[in-house]
Amino acid sequence: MNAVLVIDDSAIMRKIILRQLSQAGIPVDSALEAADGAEALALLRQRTPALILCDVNMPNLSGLGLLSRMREENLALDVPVVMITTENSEAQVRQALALGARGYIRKPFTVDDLKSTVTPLLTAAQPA
Amino acid sequence: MKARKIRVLIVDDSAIVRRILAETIAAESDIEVIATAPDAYVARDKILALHPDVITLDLEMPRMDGLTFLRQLMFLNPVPTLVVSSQGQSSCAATIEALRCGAVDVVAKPATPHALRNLRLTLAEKIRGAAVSRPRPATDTPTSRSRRAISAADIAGVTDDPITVGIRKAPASNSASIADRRIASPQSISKRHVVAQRSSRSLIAIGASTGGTVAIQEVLTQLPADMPPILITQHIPAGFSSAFAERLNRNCAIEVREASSGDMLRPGLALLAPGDHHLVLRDGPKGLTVDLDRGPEVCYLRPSVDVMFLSIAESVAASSAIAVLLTGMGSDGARGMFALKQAGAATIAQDEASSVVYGMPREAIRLGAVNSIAPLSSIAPLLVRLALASKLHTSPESTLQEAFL
Repeated sequence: MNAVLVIDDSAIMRKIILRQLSQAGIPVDSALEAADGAEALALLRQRTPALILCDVNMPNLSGLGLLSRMREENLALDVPVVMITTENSEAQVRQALALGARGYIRKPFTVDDLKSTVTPLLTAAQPA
Repeated sequence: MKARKIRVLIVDDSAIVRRILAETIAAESDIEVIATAPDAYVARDKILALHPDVITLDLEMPRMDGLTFLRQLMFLNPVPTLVVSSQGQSSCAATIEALRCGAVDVVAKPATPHALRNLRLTLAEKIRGAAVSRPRPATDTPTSRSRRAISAADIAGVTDDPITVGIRKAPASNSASIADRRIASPQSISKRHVVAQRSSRSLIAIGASTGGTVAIQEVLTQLPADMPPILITQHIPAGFSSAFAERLNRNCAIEVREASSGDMLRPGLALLAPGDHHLVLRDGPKGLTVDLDRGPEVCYLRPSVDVMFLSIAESVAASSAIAVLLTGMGSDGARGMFALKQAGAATIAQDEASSVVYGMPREAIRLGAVNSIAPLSSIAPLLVRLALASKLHTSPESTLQEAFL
């Protein structure tokens, strides 16, 4: 049910983020991973997760590129996407939000940061 | 405007080694050999006449050995010095002593094809590191006498005030509440209490390069025996690490040895990466152990601090680890420290003023990987405080803040 897709070009970072989700008490029944936007896109054509955590800067297809493609292909548009970045770029945040991202978090973040960003999105996404 | 070249004096009694060093340097556009000297007396005259930026120094020379020369040089007229040493047992010990006496770094003598290749890959970078370093005279710690480890009484009075950076949570504004949580008095800490508290920290990982042997010794000699397990990666050529570990072990309250594959982590034990092997953490069914990895060099480096830090970041120990990045040329360790901070570890970088070369710590700070920047002299007290702090009720960041108070 609660599949989470973590997209980051560093395998170690994906592992850390997945561990942080469980430390934050966010239920993850199955963890999906993708190393870049292109891999994520292929995965999203097969499955629809309950939450997407997506790095911004990645080879092949960036996080922002992925958001555009998801809109074009009408993929997982109801799924909350939280963008992960290393920069404090307001333009990047605006662009991500305009493309449909629901949240934004800056690396390195703590378990508490993750919890406070993700929990409201998941609660909002629950069907009434 | 073109920057001035780094002017190097080569001191070595072997004409072949002088030639190999000179040829290696000749390939670099920003470094030049201004003179060579076959012994210490000629070297002294050339230093006075030519004022080189960097000296490469052989330790085994006729008339006056390199170590004696180095001691005089560092006392009278410090010049950044790179030791070029063979890897025999006695020369390794002499090399570690030379580093304590103020030599900045060491390269292995090109005695084997492998050493020659390594020399070609690393010499120029080490000369650049030496050129921007601040040579310091020998620490006055006698080699034979152990430096006293920190006791609870010492840390209760720590007033060093390192700069704290990267703290995104607002610093606690109510200083009284923090004061309440401070260690009330040294008498209140019983040994048993300390040990129980310390188990909350999984391990301490320390990475260093140029100037690191002296910095690591400064930190480790101050640590009491009941610290959490410690892993150390110092960039050092193969062969020199065991002499370095032996020296540390003689001078420290904790046990220090060169790591072997499969070693279990335990409190009071520090494991040093052997030259030419990455030191990595494994969390297996038996608990935390280390592995030696001869995987690819990372940026010409093996051991690599990044490889060690990343292996910890990936492990279950990450969120309760403490990572320290000390003086060193380049950027090794910064990326790994970033992953560790992401994973919840407490991260500390040595400050610029106390660094021989402020490369690796600066890069970690630039990436936002660092909780706190501290002068070398504050790092051991800080580690003791962090080891004492229970992580159950405090995040690494607030613990770091408290640790500085």
